[in-house]
Amino acid sequence: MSPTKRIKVLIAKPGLDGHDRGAKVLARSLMEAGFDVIYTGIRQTPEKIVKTAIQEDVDVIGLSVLSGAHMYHFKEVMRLLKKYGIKDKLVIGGGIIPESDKKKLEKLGVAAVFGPGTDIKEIVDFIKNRVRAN
Amino acid sequence: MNDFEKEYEKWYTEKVLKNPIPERGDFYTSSGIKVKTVYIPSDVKGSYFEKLGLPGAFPFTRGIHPTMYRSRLWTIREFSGLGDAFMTNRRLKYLIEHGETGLSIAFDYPTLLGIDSDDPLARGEIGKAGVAISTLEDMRTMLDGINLAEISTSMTINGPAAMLWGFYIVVGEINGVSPAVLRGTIQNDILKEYMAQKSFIFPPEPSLKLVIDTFEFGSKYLPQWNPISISGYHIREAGATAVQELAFTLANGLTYVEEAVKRGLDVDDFAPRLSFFFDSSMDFLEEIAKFRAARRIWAKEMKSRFNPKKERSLWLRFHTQTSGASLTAQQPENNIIRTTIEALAAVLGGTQSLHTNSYDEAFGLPTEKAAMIALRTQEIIAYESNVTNNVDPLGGSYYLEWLTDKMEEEVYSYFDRIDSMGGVLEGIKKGFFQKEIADSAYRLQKEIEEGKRALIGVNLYRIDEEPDIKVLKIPEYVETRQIKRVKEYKKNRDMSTVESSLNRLRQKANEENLMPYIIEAIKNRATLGEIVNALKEVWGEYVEPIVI
Amino acid sequence: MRKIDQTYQISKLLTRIENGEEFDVSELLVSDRQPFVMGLTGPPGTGKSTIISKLAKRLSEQKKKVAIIANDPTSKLSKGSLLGDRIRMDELWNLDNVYIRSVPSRGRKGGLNYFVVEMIYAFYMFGYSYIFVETTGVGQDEVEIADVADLVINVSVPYLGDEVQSIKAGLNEVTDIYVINKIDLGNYEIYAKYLYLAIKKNKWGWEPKIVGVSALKEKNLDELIKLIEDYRPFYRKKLKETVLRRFSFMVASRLEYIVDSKIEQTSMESLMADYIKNKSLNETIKKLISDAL
Repeated sequence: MSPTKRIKVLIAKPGLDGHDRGAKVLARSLMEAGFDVIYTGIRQTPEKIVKTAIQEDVDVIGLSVLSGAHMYHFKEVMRLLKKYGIKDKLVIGGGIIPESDKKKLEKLGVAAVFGPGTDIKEIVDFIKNRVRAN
Repeated sequence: MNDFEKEYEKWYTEKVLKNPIPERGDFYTSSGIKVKTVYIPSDVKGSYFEKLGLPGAFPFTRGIHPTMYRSRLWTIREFSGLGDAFMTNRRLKYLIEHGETGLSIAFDYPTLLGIDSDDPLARGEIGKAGVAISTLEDMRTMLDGINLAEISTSMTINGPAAMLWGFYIVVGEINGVSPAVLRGTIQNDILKEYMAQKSFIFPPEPSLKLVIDTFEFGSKYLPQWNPISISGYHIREAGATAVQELAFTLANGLTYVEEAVKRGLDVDDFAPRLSFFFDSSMDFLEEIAKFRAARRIWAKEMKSRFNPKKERSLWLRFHTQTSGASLTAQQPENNIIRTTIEALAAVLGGTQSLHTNSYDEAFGLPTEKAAMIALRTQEIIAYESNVTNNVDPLGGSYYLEWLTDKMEEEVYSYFDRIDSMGGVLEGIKKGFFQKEIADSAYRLQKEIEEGKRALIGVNLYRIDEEPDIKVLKIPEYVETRQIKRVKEYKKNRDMSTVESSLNRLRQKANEENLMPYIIEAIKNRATLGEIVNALKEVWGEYVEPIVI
Repeated sequence: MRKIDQTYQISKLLTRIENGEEFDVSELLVSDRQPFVMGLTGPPGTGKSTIISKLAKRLSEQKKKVAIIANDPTSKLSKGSLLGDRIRMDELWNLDNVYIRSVPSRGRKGGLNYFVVEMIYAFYMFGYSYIFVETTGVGQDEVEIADVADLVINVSVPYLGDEVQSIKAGLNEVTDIYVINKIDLGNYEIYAKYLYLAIKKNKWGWEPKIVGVSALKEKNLDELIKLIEDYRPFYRKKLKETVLRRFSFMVASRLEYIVDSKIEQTSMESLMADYIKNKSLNETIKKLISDAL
């Protein structure tokens, strides 16, 4: 069994929508890829997500929103991270997110936004590369 | 071994196995049912009349009506609901002007969870995935200028279905329309929320009680209203297979009927008004088999368990929506073709109404152009393809009949498992359904990534392009305007009457049918959130077991 | 210093500990003041997390600082872990004096991470004097929790099959309180009687107690809390021994960690070649370990 450090990821669903299919598939796939994964379940507030991320010292925060309210929730998460002075978390997002919003989110500091049909392998590789680079 | 089987064996060894071009591999349906090279009469067991019968006759495998689309086409029902009550009102009026007779309304997430727009939890979500309705005034505005006596309204609402229905009934009353003539459907299928869509509020038992309250109330005062649409759609979209969708939906349906009968309702008073809602996805023939098996299993189970007197109580009437999960963000125009195949399956499966998705739904709310193509898809099937010329045109296909039987068999094996764990509610609390669905979703994703399941434009024939899709956006001011409206509504009322009606609701929560108390609270200007919160105080809020 | 900055500091310290960095607890070990560590063990799904959540909430209301170390199993194949306990402690997330940390068991058979003791003392250093340690519940050797905790609570439910019901070997030697959870879902009295037969008085004079609760519905929790309070004098009696046990856990699991890490980085082929050459496994291992240190 491996005692060495693993990448630790928080998968969270901010907001009110209950479409957890993608988040669950991702959580399980990341675990299968050897990550330590915390899945928070649905209906999380940005405040809760950020506090959990800090307590758990995760490397990555993955947010999944399918209600169309992504801009609000992502902005809140980014704002809180800034407020608390947290700079060491890679934030990624997924869900039904229009192209024009993706660009805005990237400007806010979201490292990447993955839309429907993304290969999980692509997400795994992205995380590995970026966390190692940090 | 009979002659058919002997002949088949011989043919298989001599022709198939020795075929110069061998088969490409094993073949499976999307639910994982293994499929043979060809099906022959001996694959279909049992007597014709027992298993199929004629359309409009038990066990209704071939259709619930004798003439089906030769008499009346399915209802084209495309849903709308966006922004606030004003925006949706404009949209609904537009649809009515263009000939729609059935409205279908989607609500935003705060409304779906019984949260008022002015609650901080609603921030960012108001009007995003549907219309925001917190007050009687909101409902009045949304339905302003629409004659409720003539229209049929379907509301996609579950946790707080009783409350939204209450708003609708009170608006009818204000407009001088008696409940007896109101027509429509509330989705009101709370069991599948725990399994899949997760817009639950209260724990399962009181939620189920509230559903039965609506059955009882509807059978007395709103005889033309469907108090439930028992839905497999969300179960499927959450990742379930066609078999799981069918098994879990029917198990839920039977649970509702059992509960209602336990309450002392006569099965014939409510069963004719039960309706279903299924998904139609890409495995064309499996979907058709699913719809046919659904009708047969439901009729058989209703008859043997509850022995109704009215034939209508045995009917499985259903609405179908094409699969949102089957749509791809890559080369989105391909989705038009996917939706067409899925819509055709629904029609060949004998659906009563149909919603076709817009090709751009992997990006956001559909644009007008995309919504128009979706509508035209249905019309082309209805008027150009001639598949409506006769009833159940694929009935008798050896493969389809075999597959219909096979689906039925697998559904019964799920029924046994559900029974052995103590029924649907126990299964929900143990996370059984959630686990089954999550496993299927995970398997599906793996199959796509490993290339075992083809998805054109995603893992096959992929091209790299930036999709040029315009999406509809709800303007920012909608949220502010809606919050302001709700706050104003709350200012202009007598708080003591609000409080006393909420108190009555709390007191009666576990004792009586709550519909009259909900309606009273609405008339006293209590908001959706206040009514839901009052009941939360009594019933608590549900926290789901997390299963991955 | 903002509260959140302190959280961040602890958080980083815990990560360093988890990754095998040494953390000096020598002064803490010899001190008279020790944290009160409650270890919860029992099969998955019995409600360990929910019980901890409810107890932690009460302690937090009494202005106590509470830390929870939730161990979750690591997948043998992928070596990744799903850390799911904190979802069941949702009511604690915004309490300033409660800290939850999820840790993977990394496949250790006791169901505890290598560095649980160091983590306990790290929390204690920051003033967290009440500490819950939740085991994975799937280990084969769950008595290990007794090496770490002052009080061992064994959680079970009345409705599981016999297989799960029978207490894991040795667990009855170390359990101080048996909690039968979810009593609203089944008849627990028969089961309680059966448990009663397995009880053994410990050498400090504490006779293990049995209590039926429904954590989710907050039924009988006061009774459980009272039992914990009753237990406190006994915990003081054995404090010296407990500290020694913690130290032995630290030694043993650090050794395990060193060996496991080394084995992970070592090619088995070359190790076998070495063994075949000198024909002594002890020699081969000696080399391996001295290399690792």
